[in-house]
Amino acid sequence: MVESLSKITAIFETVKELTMEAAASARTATLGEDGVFRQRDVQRYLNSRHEKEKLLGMKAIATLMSRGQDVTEYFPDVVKNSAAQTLEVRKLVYIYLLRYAQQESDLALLSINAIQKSLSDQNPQIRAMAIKVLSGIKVPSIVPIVLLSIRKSIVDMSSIVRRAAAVAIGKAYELDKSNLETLVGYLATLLADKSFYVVGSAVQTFVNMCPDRLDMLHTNYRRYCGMLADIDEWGQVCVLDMLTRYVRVYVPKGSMVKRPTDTFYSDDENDKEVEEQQEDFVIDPDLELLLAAAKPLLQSRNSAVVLAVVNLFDALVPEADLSFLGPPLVRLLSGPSEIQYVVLANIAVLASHHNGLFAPYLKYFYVLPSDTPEIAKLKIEAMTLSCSESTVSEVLSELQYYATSVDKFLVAEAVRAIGRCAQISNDIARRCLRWLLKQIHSSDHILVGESLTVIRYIIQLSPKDHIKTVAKLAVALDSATVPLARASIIWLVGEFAGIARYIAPDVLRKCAKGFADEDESAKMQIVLLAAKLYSYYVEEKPMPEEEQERDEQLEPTVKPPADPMDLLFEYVMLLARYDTSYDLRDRARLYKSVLSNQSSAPIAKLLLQAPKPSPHAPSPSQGKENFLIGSSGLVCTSINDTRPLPPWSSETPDASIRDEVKVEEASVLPSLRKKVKPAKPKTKKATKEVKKKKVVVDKVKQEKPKRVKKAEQDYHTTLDEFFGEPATTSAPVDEVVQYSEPEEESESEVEIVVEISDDSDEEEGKVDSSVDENDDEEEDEDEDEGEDDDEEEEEEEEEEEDDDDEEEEIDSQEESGQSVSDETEDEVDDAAGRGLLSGQ
Amino acid sequence: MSILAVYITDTNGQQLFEYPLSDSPPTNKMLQVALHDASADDVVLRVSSDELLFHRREDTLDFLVPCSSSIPALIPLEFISHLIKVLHDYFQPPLSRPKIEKNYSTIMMLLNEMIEDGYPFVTEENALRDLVPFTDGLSKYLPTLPKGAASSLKSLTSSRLSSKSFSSDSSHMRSNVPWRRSNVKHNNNELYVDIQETLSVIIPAASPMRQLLNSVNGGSNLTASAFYTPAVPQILAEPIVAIAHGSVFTTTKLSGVPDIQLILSFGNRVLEGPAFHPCVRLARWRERPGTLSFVPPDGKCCLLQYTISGVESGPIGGDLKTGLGPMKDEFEVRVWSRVPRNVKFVENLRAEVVFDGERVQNVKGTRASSGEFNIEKKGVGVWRFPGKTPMGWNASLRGTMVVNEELEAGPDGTVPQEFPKYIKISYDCQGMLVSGTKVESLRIVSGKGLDDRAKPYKGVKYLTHGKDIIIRG
Repeated sequence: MVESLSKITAIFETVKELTMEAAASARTATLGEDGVFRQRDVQRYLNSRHEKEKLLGMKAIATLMSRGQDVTEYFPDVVKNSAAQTLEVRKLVYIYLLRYAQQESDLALLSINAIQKSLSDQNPQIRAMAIKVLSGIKVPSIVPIVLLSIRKSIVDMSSIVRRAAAVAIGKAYELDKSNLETLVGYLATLLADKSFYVVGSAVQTFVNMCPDRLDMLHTNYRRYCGMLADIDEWGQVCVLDMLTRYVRVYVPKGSMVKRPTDTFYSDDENDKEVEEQQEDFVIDPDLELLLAAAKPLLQSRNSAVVLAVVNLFDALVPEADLSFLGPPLVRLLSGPSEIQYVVLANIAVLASHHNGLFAPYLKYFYVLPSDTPEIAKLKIEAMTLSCSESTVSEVLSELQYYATSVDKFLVAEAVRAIGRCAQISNDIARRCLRWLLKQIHSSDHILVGESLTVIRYIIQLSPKDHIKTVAKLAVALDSATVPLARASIIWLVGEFAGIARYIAPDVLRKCAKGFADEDESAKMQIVLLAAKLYSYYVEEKPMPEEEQERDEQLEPTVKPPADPMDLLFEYVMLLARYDTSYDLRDRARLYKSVLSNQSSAPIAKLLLQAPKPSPHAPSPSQGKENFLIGSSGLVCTSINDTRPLPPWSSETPDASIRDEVKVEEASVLPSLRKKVKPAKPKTKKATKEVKKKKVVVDKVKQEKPKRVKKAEQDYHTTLDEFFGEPATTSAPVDEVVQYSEPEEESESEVEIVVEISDDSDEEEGKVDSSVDENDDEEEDEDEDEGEDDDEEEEEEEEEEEDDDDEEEEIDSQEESGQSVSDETEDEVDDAAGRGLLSGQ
Repeated sequence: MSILAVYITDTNGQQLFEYPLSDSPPTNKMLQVALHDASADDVVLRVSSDELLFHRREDTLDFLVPCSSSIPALIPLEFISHLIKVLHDYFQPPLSRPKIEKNYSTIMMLLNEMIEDGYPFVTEENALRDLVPFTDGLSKYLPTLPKGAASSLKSLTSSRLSSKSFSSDSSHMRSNVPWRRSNVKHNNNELYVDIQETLSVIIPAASPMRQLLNSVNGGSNLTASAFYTPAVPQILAEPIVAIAHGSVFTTTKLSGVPDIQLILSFGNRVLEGPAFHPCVRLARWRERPGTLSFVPPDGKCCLLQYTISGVESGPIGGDLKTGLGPMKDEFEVRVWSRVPRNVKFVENLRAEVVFDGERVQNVKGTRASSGEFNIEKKGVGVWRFPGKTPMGWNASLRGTMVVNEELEAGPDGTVPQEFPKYIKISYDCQGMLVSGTKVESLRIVSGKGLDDRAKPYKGVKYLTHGKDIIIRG
């Protein structure tokens, strides 16, 4: 009876709930239905006890935010929900906070507590979200909390959280740039992370925060090469860019040596030809490692990755045979037109300094009617740059088709391209000229104008060879109708009057007849032609100077000079003098006064016979070579391109700085020794670490004591693993011995490591920079500790003085401590995924 | 280098959605000014000396992404592509204004995951499905919704929510395969492979010799038929360009974590720089080209993209003859489908007749043996064949171009007769691929979580999309 009663009550309970739900949803249906959100309604929903209503309230806020309305007035109501139980509500609250916390920093602080609690949530996704929001809230007063949270997150079990921490480091830096050194220390840990998932984001932060600290990558370089394929596509772009820079600074440049290398690109069995051709090109094994790792990424579906790889090859081994870059780039031409455009812009630059790279792919550059004008232009350029003597006739006939097409934009571009093709050889130039001369009669103004420009250009390249062309032009003038064309031809004839003497006067004679019917631009050129001819004439005239002078000065128009040249000149000047155009009249007056006086002949010569510089007809992409492949500057030149590649450094440190195996062992080995010996610094360090945690925790008073204990335990367990490690790593130790000098073998392993570093010290000239930087890093880290740990600062400093000579070991040991613990934690997480990936 | 904001606007530039990522990104108004000033085809616009605008139009929406200038140009463009793909995955294509307006909070949460610190972060559709459940309340999708979404729906309906159940949300059981969402469950297990090829062909203008031959034929046949000339052999000239861009899509609706092997044969053709989805094991491909071994993402994905040049010119041919008829002022366009191989028909067949819109006023006396011919815009006449076009079929179109009388005469005092410049044919053809690519085998190698008794349905589909078949006149 009692049972059934309770059952009934339970049923009622559910029914009641359901009704409430229904009622709530009936009410909510009206919220914002008409697109208008009344403040009071939204607030009521935000303050509701029902999760569903809260969600609707937050969705209303999201709508308002997306529309671009100011929703800061809801701040108090939204912040209340920062501990909401539904994930969706919480996420929306977080998004709200990220955008508006800056404006209401005091109110935003109310939410910090709840967010910090989530930092210890079981669910890594929620922990990651918490660190993301915490670092994203732009309230300067929480910087210490952010730093603490990052510190905690970088050693989190889950790679999701560590990845979020990597991003958070960058944001914390933006928030307060004075913490750079601390943050760089944290970032170093993440850069050495075992998980490719984390490394991508860590490198991205590195690029934004401290791109010049390439020295931090020494020990990671080879590892990155190994995991490159597994990093996500966006991370790959960053890592490729950064490794390119690293190589330029720290790895010796590849050089031509008379010695075959059989391992170049050894990972790809299809490239036997490449190997044979590159026998003389020797590159550093580390560079080779990177090239081998980067090459498969050309098969990425992400075009940004493909271009990053192309940039890497172009920047690091431009001398090598890069023909394998062609196919992936032309494949990208099937993408959306925006991507096609960017890829083509890069292809044009590549084609201009790697001759023949795209020669086999000319067909891909044929313009289709569906191409946009911008793409068509770039295709024509790429085609022109890629053609050689063997393919030029194919390209020319294609260009000629475009030049006569309906699409106006194509015409000009194609004719100019023909002009560039003409530079390949004299035969081709002649062929181009023949075709261009035919086009002068076209009714298409653009075609005519461009053709003449190109004709002028070709003639000017070698005027002596083209006297016949000038004659042909003169003939063409009879039938040319387009004013622009007439003007250009007359100018050309005048320009070459010096070498084609017998043509110009006749042209002038013909033109003078029809002067009145000419367009103004043509009239201008006729006057100029007359002046030019006359200046040649005056120069050579055997007539006595004074007489001529007087004649001209007194009554130039009345007394008819005997020579037809004089007559012609006077006639044209007269025509111009009574023209309607001011400009024409002025010019005529100028020429006349200059030429009438024998003493001003030098000036006239300068004015009228000055040799014109050969017109510069560069490929449109010329000048873009300074931009990196794939960079925005290359497609939009009028911007600041702030990240040029560092130059190759002439002196590079020894390759051993990239020895990751050695570094790990170096860190393990001192611990061995310290265990055997009294090992003072070691233990000190350990306790210091723990104490520090306590101190920080006390300061902020957020953590429960239980957590601290756990942290300690964590630490100790990792230490234990740490000590346990040497047993398993005994094998690699032998490798170290192999590297070292034979006489050192008898000494302890630790000293071998030291010996190696000594070796590098001996080569001071070379290693100098890297050693210095290493020192800096150590100092930095010491400072960090100081900041975090006020109480122990003095003590520490004293200790450090004592430990001076062992500093290096301690540091590396600390690093490896973290990396070891990371490794174990990660294994569970990534093992499966890696297993799948490693199949690649 | 960072993305400063994401805007979605309609095609008039009216803002629908904004997602600022920095303190003071360029506003939509500023961007619209930049867009207005630029020519229509500029892909990358300069907003200021260190701000750039990347934009793309999709369906009826414009996606505007202002960025700082140090960003590699393809990052924002690829990001927009990913964003569109994700939005398609969530809201089904085509995207529209109401779809955006209805889903503001979801889009916002998606972008929150997709961009971190101004740089693309999680962009895989499957990973996002785990992070941002789509709760549209569409109960019919419930069975196929990921568990995360279903449970958060449940959490909404249950008012007694313990924080424990919240944190044991499925999302922390992150899938081990980054591109596959966790705990996939399907009632009907299905696996489809779609291979699509987009064909571009350029057929050069007939040589003068052939032209002569044609005009002779055309002249002699004039008496025989006013419409078309079946006696003339249907020979397509050798194309100068014949490129097929192919994509291999899989649509996977399989429970658990299936491992699939797909073997393709490409004949003896060379794939120019194939690109793979990250899920494909490249080592297997290297061992035996054509073998795609992968754990697929749930839903649709593009496994492989390839380009092959020198393919066949496709199932549809055509030619263009000019200077026909008594006045030598007529042109004839012929289109034919080849003798059937394994396909029955082509769809959406149309031929655009392109001429100089400045010089030609009109096309008169058009006679089409089938289909409809209309001048649709200046310089373009479209000849459509609605429905399905059978194989072994042909059609012809005759007409005369009326030249604009205001044009100045040529050197010989007459205005030259105009003819079509080129013909552009497009169509869809199911059941065949021009490159001859074939699926040799498709099998599920192993399926963790997939019921052994379940016999997944497998399907393969081929589609050739003739996009630009250009026949030059």
